[in-house]
Amino acid sequence: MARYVRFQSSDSINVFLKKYPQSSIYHKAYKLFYDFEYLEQTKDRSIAQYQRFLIQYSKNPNVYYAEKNLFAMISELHIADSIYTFIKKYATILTQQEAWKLLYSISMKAYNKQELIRFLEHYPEYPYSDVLLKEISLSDIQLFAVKNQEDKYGYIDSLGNWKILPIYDDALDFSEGWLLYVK
Amino acid sequence: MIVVFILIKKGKRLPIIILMGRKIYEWVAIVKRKSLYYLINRSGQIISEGYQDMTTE
Repeated sequence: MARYVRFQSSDSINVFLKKYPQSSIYHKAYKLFYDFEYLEQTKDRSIAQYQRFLIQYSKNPNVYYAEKNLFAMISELHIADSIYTFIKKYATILTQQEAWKLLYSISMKAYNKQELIRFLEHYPEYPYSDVLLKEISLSDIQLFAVKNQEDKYGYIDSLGNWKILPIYDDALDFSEGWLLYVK
Repeated sequence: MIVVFILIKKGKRLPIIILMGRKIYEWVAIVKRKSLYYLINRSGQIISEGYQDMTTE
């Protein structure tokens, strides 16, 4: 005769797990225990609950969802300090990259050299600092699209030196103060 | 496929270039070579695939 077990909470599953360690549904019950635990501990779906869950229930496999949900909520705030705290305390490989990129994008207002330097000073552990350092080193160089005698375009600096060799049939300027966006 | 590159004044929008869903954090220019358009960065490296057609807004 088939026997049915109905669980209503992580506590009831926990009792079952302790009582029937040899049960054929032990592993299924264990997974269910974690699911219940996650739902119970994050029932308000608040930032505080997700933060607490990530710290106190780090062994629960559903920390994956807690981290994703916490990051989504923190992202909506668009507050640099909150994102930075998230990176330092809660982010794993799952969200770290996106969190850093978000922090970078909301920190950049004018996108000038001073701002880039300030960002690196403020967040020295920024994982893409090599890209920023390159941007900083290039920010003083203005490049102009120029056509040579063979009707090929390249880029020269303000001293007239070729910085990008003339191999193109057409070229637009690196217009200072503008960025390109693909729709 | 026509790819539209929109020029955005810095400070007005996020300083991010989204290239077919990929975010690129550097300044770029559009160049044309052998009938294909590309994005290059200020080091002269081509950072996109070639596109047959292109327009700017």
